[in-house]
Amino acid sequence: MDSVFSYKPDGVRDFLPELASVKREVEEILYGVFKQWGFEEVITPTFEYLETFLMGYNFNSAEKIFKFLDRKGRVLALRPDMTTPIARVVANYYKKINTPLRLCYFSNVFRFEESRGGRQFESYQAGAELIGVSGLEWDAEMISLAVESLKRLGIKDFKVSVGHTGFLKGVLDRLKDEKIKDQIHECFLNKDFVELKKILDSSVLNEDIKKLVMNLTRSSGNLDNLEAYEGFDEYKIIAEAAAQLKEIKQLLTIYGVEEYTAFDPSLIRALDYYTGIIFEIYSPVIGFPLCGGGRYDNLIEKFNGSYPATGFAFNIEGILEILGGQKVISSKSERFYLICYDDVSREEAIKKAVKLRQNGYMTEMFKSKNVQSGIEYGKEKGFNKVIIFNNINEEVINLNKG
Amino acid sequence: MMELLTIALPKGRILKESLDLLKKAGVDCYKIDEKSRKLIFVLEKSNMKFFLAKPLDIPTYVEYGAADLGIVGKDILMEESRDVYELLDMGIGHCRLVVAGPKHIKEYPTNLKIATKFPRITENYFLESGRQVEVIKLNGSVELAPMLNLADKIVDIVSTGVTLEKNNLTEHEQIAEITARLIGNKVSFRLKAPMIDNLINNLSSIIGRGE
Repeated sequence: MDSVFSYKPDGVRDFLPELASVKREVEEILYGVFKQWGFEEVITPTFEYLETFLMGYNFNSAEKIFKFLDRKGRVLALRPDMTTPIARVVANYYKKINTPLRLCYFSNVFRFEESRGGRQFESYQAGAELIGVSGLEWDAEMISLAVESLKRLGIKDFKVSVGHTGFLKGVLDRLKDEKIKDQIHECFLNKDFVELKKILDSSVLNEDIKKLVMNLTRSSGNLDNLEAYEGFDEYKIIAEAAAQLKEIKQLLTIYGVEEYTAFDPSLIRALDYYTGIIFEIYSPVIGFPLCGGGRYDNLIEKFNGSYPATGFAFNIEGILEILGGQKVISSKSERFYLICYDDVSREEAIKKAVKLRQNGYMTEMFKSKNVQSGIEYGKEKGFNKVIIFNNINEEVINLNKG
Repeated sequence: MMELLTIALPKGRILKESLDLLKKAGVDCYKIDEKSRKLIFVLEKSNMKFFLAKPLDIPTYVEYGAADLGIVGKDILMEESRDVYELLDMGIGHCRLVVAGPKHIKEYPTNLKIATKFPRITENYFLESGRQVEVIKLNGSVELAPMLNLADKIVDIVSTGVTLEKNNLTEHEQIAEITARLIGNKVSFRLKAPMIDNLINNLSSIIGRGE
């Protein structure tokens, strides 16, 4: 009898060896790049107090968190992201940072998605966080690190949209009417430009502000427009954001990654979390961003530390989809010896395997009296050589073509 | 070769109006016809690809990037709440989402039963106004529910009101005005910005002309 319990639940997935090995490779390459840029790995618990995560989130996302109770009845939650735990770790263990702290992680995160259809509850992220320094060169370092990581993975067709929280903040700041302010903010969070236009059309806001708001609905941005706001006190936040983008553009040019980046005023990420430069990376192959990040100077404060910070996270499944299950580095995972043996030759065979492994060769055991089946298995799995034990005679068959 | 802009069109009620609008916006979509049973139409001259899908599925196609853009009723967007950009009010497919009930009944029970094709919208709407209701999800002919005592009221789309009238129902509350919307995928919105901006500009100049 088939029972649902003999299958996995909805919203989580199995990685079979083929995909798991590509995932491992991707993470190893990313780890290599992160290390090269001075980032060190941290591992945090899979679950923490729900309240810890809520400190980093707005109320809306609380619904998306998987929760359970500990034995004292306190609410625990599976981590919905890694930035909040890292902020907590920094506040807990690094009481004084004199130099920039570079941390990275590779981990699964859990989010409940209501309208699913293919979207997973458990997903995998690789990310990096640069803590303790503010200044645009550090934002530029993070964007460049993300670009470099993708290039190292052999992904070339992608675009980095760079934005700034100051545009939306600056616009909202100019609105005196709290109700309209909330409505407009909500339209941007919901990406509802139809409702936004309706609100503007029926409002008494001046044309300048309306123009500014509509400017945030187009992704192909022009910085020159925004410089016009320089020098006006009421547009200070916007002018500052524009100036920062201009400066980071120069820094990205020095890093040699400007060809991948574009200024995008329509880029909006949650305002109660991000505080400056923000960015997302897109590939034409997948319908979701494959990376997102930005500056979050107020998060660590919530855990009684006080450090500026910036970081990003790659969506590992997105990267796997772009790579299409392709091996990134083919030579590394090559097979080597298959030892085909039977009961009579067991001792000799095991000793041989021990020796080969000590010498650094990948060696796999295959027990069968049928020599042919061993050769076939070896071919199918891509082994280079099959060692056949016949009684105590040892024969090496070379499976390499040519 | 330039990349195609892929657009999902809804089968049924608003397809004809959508095509008319696209034609006026200069999109050469004369070949597209629901009756032909063909589902995908490539317009090489305009660098566009159209496909026909069930209206309910269109937000899904767009969210996943299987389509860059889509045309779909606001009712479906509200019900599905997908992560897509709502770019333009197409000004077609006008109708209203309303709460309706039997004409002659004056008093309703406090714990209302509401039959609807839109359970999420219904629940949110009543919750926002501080009323708790029991939502009964149906897939069509919702007007039947009050007559057969399955529900006290219904939440449904009304365009002329004839259906309500014929079934002895009357409108009690309006939840929202509905029109068809142009929606866009988050990634396409950025990677295909010039093509999308161009189409939006052409469409909005026509819609502005008092369609």
